[in-house]
Amino acid sequence: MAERVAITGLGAVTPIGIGVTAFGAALWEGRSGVGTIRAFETDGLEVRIAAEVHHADELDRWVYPPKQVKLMSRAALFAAAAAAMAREDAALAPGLVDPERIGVCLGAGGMGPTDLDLLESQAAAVVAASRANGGDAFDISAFAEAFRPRTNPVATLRGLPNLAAAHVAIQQDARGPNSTITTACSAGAQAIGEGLRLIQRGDADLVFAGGADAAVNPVAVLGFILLGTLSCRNHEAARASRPFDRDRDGFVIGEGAGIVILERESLARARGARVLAELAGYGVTCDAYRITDERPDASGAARAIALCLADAGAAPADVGYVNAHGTGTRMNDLVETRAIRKAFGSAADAVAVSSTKSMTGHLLAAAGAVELVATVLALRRNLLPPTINLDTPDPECDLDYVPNIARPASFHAALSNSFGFGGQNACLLTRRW
Amino acid sequence: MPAHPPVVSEDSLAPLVLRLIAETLVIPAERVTLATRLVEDLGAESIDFLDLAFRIGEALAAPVQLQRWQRFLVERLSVGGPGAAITAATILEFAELVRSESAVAQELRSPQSPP
Repeated sequence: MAERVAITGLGAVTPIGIGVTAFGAALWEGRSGVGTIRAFETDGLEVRIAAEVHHADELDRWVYPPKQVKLMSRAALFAAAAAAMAREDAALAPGLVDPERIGVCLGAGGMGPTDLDLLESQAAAVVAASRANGGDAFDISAFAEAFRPRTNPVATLRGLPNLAAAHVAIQQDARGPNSTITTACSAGAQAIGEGLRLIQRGDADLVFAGGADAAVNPVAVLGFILLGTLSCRNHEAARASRPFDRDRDGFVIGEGAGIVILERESLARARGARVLAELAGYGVTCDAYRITDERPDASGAARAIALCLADAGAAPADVGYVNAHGTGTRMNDLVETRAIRKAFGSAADAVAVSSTKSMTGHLLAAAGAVELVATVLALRRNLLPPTINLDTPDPECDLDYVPNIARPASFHAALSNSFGFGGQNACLLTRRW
Repeated sequence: MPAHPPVVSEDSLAPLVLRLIAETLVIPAERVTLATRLVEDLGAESIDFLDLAFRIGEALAAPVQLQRWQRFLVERLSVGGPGAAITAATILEFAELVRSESAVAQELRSPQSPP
């Protein structure tokens, strides 16, 4: 029989807590991380709320040498800090594992002007380019002339999506396989699943796997406003993210990172590592249907769940908890409910399902990773995180969503669902070691 | 926005250059003297040199052409390894060059240009 893969360390940077201790405490308390956006002025925007990570400057202490911070996007800093926390949690001292056998697999968001200063310099250059030649045509040379003196080369480098994984590798001396997955909202889960495969197929013995995203910037927020996916509940921010509630009106954009340390069973045993849980299954599918619609029969998502269960050799009845994708959009919550019913059959009524996005907001490419961390914490503490703001049940969402209050529960295995724009579905199964 | 006002005095640029090096590498100012080697002593990497060039251009209000900067550095690389020979004094030499070229360019621009 193949070796199992252990989860031996957790790291989290989230809007409701930095570090797994603070994150866990907020989960059990049912605390919302949503508030009025502080990162930029929101006058004139329909959406003025987000789940931001406050005091991000405290993360600098996890990075060495200090100058590395300037090379990092906000998301990369989150990833580097979460990876360092996970390493500390795993008690993985330098030299214990051959660096060439350590991999990194991260979910990351899109590239682009994520720094406000870069956005400003681009805007100034666009204005110059439009005014040149009497405004007849966009003038590239005028754009370049205005852009160059305003733009530090470092700022352009920070936008590359693969650099978070590169920074984690440099910080952790991880010289093995290094990859970045950019499947939007399923990226974090998929990165952890692919990290599992790296170990199973023998390419690495230990993997830093997870995701990071930091898209609380005017371009991303406006983009999601145009797509009509965000909650406009500006007047009651803490109640805006309300998955599975009848009065939900979209997701709340958030930011953060989650990293787990995956370790080959023999290595974990040899070094006497404390094992938090087994990462036992991974299922991944694509709807191949419509870019922003899920298949109404939920077959793509249901198949990801079924494949994940089969990969772990588990039956639906073995699963006591599902950490839902649960974004709080009308469509996701309906289709996800159908998917769980389809994949679980008669076991669906017995399984507890909750959306921690009700507290953290939607961390996009980090979501699946932070939610796997939440799932492992739930498994360890025999306590289910609630779906907060679930005040009025939606008749079409008819599962047990652990409304509003954390619930003690002992269970053997748990699933974490992640579904992305584009129809990419990923599902992870963890269970007791 | 630059953290400090541009330096346009006729004095030596040494204090400015030493400060910019310390800021670029996020190290205490006292660790940098004109004899300090940026790569070997301070752990500078190639992106830091681009960052430094940008900061020098910003401080002198004379944007640095990156090709020009790279040519300047390459000419000073020793066989001992990339960047081994680059000291803070090398950077000062470049900053002085940027300043003098910028002054010449301004003189050329200042008379009434022919139509």
